[in-house]
Amino acid sequence: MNKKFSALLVCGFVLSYAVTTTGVHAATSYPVNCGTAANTSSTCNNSISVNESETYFTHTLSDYFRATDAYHIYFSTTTFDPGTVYRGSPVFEDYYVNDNYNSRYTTFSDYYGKYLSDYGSITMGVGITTGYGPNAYQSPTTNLYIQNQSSSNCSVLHPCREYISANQFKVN
Amino acid sequence: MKKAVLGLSLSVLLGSATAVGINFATGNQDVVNASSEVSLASVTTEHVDETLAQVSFKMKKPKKLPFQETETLSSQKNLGNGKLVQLNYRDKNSKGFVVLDATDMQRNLASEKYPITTVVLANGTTASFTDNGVVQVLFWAQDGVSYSIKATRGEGKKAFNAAELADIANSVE
Repeated sequence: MNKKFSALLVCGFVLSYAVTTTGVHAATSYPVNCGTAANTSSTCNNSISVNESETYFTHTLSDYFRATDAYHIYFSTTTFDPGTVYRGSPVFEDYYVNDNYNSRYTTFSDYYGKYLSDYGSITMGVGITTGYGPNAYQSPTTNLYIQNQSSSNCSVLHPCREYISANQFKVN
Repeated sequence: MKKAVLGLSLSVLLGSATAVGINFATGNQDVVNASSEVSLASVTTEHVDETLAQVSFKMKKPKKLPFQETETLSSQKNLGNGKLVQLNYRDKNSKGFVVLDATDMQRNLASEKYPITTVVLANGTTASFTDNGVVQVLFWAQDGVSYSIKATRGEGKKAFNAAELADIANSVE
């Protein structure tokens, strides 16, 4: 076996190990991009799976929205759907509706600090209209933050990690 | 050439199988790494000054807390086109905490279920207060920075009222 062939095999092993390791741990899809035509409504779903030292859980964020015209998007309701908490005690943090076009951010703290495991599906009224521009930095996003444990347990040895479930919206 | 392709394929398969095997054997502990670029928003650290130095705005710290704290932790994350910094203070003697965050982006507090009341701070600023049954929340802006406090004395203990959170906010200078 020559040196080049050996190097190729080693590279293949290392690369595939790295990619697979990331894939096993990866929380998925940030952000999910969703679009709808003007004057139509749609739902945008983003499912995440987080598996780390303090917790292992799944969650789906669903935003129901309507492009009221080519320049505005109305957010009607959002649904937090904790799937399964396999391990630990993750908590909800803030839910943001980001009007990136106008640099205005609205925070809902209704579920901040509450355990995912205490809830089934939660649907919350939002009722916010944002601006819309075709560039990524002008299009609205919704962000739900979930922390791996309560803030009362954060420590140097057990750092709190916040995960984000996010959707980004456009008018087609 | 065929040998090289076959060998590479086998090494890729072996690498993947090893990774899956190790993750399975270790119970998939300690994520993050590459996934941090995908969906990890923030991690608390004890390096408060370093965290504050990483953002373009000046976040002020509270001089008054409602308890004796343990170590202060900090984190930062993106908020829209800006940044948000959090300081986490924990009660040394209970499960209470105060999380103070700050961003240079304009934001406001909304709620579907819980009433939002206003309280006027010592400097004349109007702040928004709400209580979601687990944490009490105060939002206000000063010197071009938007702040919020989320606080609790711990489960089953008396909730903070707006005046008590306003006291903390008034000490942010």
